[in-house]
Amino acid sequence: MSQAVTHFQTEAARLGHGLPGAGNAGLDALRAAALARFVREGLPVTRQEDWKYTSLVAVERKPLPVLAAEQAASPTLAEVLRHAVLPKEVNRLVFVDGHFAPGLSSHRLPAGVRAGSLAARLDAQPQEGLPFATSALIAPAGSGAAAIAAQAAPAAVGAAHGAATPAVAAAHAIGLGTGLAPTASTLHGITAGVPAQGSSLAALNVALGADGLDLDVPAGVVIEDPIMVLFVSATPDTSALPVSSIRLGDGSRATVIEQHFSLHEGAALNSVFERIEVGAKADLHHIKVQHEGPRAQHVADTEAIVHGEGQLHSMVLALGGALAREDLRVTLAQTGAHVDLDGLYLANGRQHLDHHTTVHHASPACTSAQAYRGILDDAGRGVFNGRVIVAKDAQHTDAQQNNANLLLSENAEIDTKPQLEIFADDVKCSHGATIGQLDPAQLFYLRSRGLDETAARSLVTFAFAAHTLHRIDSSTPLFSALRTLLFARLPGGAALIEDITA
Amino acid sequence: MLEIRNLTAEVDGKPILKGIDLTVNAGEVHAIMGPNGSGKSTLSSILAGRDGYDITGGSVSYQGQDLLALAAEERARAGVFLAFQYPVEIPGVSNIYLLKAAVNARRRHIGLPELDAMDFLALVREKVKFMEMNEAMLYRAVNEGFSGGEKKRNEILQMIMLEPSLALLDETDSGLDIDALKVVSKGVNSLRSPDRAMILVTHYQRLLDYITPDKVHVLSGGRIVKTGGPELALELERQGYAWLGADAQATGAGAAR
Repeated sequence: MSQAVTHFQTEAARLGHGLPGAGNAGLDALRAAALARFVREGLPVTRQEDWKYTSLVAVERKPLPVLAAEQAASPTLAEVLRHAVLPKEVNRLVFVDGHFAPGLSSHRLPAGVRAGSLAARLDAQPQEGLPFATSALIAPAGSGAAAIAAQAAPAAVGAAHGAATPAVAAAHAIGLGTGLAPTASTLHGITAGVPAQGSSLAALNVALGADGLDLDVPAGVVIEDPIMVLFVSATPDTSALPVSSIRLGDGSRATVIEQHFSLHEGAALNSVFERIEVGAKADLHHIKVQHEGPRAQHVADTEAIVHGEGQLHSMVLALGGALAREDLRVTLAQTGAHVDLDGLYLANGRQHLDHHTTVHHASPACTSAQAYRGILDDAGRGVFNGRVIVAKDAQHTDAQQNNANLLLSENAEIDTKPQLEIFADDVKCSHGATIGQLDPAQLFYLRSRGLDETAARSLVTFAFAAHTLHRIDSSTPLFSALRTLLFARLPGGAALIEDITA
Repeated sequence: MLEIRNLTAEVDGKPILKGIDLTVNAGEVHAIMGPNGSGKSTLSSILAGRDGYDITGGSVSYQGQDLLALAAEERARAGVFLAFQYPVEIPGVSNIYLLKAAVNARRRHIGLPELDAMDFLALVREKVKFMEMNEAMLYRAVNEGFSGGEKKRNEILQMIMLEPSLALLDETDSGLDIDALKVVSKGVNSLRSPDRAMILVTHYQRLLDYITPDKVHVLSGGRIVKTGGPELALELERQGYAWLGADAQATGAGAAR
């Protein structure tokens, strides 16, 4: 048996009874089923097509312990804020070593907004289950176990989505199966043909994850100030398994800036499980910044659903970690939903940064625009795999996807695979991938204006990277903060302070 | 200002320049004309320091320095400016940033303090107005999405901001409509001064209707085959380049002096 499986089974035995809501039959059954899947499948391996280029062998060889809430470190606020992109923001939710840190958190959110710890909610109301649907999953396709699991966790199913229709709630289910989700094809066609989602590591999060962000914005509530969510690794040689949920009710609006960083340079596993729901005509800006320590392994599984005319603006900046894998899947579930996905990965040294995205156009007249960029230096390696699926009924879809890469060194590598799968016949779709080096014509042009070669190279590289921020208003502190963060990671960037961007 | 002596150069082993001799004094405007493939653009590229050319012989002296020993950026800071035939698009870098970086690189080189933001802005606004350009283009990416005419105006804007000692204009007139040509010419003429030299590389005579050169050289087959005054350009316009064929062989490199 795999070392990681044995290790996490032991951790589950040690920590399981202390998990929030433990003792509730529904939650216990769900966690047991999720653990069973992890035990059965083990960690993802490179034999699997989706993991062909990304090896979790470091996690397998040396699985790290999971901390109980009382074992989590207690950094000072100053230590944490030093890494925050917007340290002065009033809305701040901090998680340390996978557990909510109330002493470091505060917010001034409108009444009715629930913002804080999933653990607290599960402890208080275990019968309501996880704030996202968990039926339909747990077991491999066709085994029938999914139905059993669903029966075992009725509370989780029933309470899953409040106002959302059952079909949509189920579509948003955490697909923990492999192959096709067993119930997907029964969901009024909404997810027909979409593979069940979530790796075995995501199942481990459900089994063993104690805490995470629980954000619920009621219908019609508009939150202007960004909500900072900081996931801090403070104890080296540990695993964190946060489970998070973000829900925006119909017509609401919010900006969530989620940061993942380390206060140490030691080993760490951060396996992130996140579910996002954007209600009809709601608008969510979700910005994720991963800048963990040089030995961190970051594996994230994010799934989002967008309802009619809702908008999700997703941005992922992958800057840190020895290895980072981001799975991001978005379902445009109802007419007129929109998503844009911007991503940037900057790999140097021997960093390995992998992005797998899936955009599923499940309904007519939805739009998606995807732009991922990579800058690979030294022996850095990037992977981009972007799928766009247009369902048979999803006429008048407009889906754009682009992946552009800059290789700065002979030893850098990128493996990119854009994929379009179109089952409708009246759609506008495009995709493309480019891999290039700094353009000698651009460099000469800048040098002929008096910039030295180093400055010219930096400038062209910065400009390439800064493109990812194009959707953020350049007059905002957020834009400046993110750009500073990006430039600090690029060769010669620390010196650059002026506004270069057009 | 500029002394080119028996300059020979190759690209990928193929000789392009076969012995150029040219002297340009301060205050002079020279036009270099010639058919396609004669080596005109190669000459301006080599003077600006573009990579990819093997200098196989000869020398270039600029203000008493060995120009060929300087990197492209050192030449720029020393006052050599090339207006590109095909200005390069640089997405993500704003025009105003490049202008400021370029002006300050030059000022540092000649021992002047960098311009502060206010002074710089005042200066650039004045020059933009002079070039009859829209101020909004300052905040657009360098040349990105610019029309052919806008790109050429932008080159001249950079030139009048940088006030070079030696300006090389490579086919600046190509692709310009008559209005743009007038504005570009106005920019170039505004820089004419006793302590500045200019070389206009052009295929056609029409630019010379607006910028009167002191000397016209004909470059053909990698050599300067004929040198004259402004009237030479008119003659070329009437007769084309073919009539120079035999003459070119006969006079060779010596014609330049």
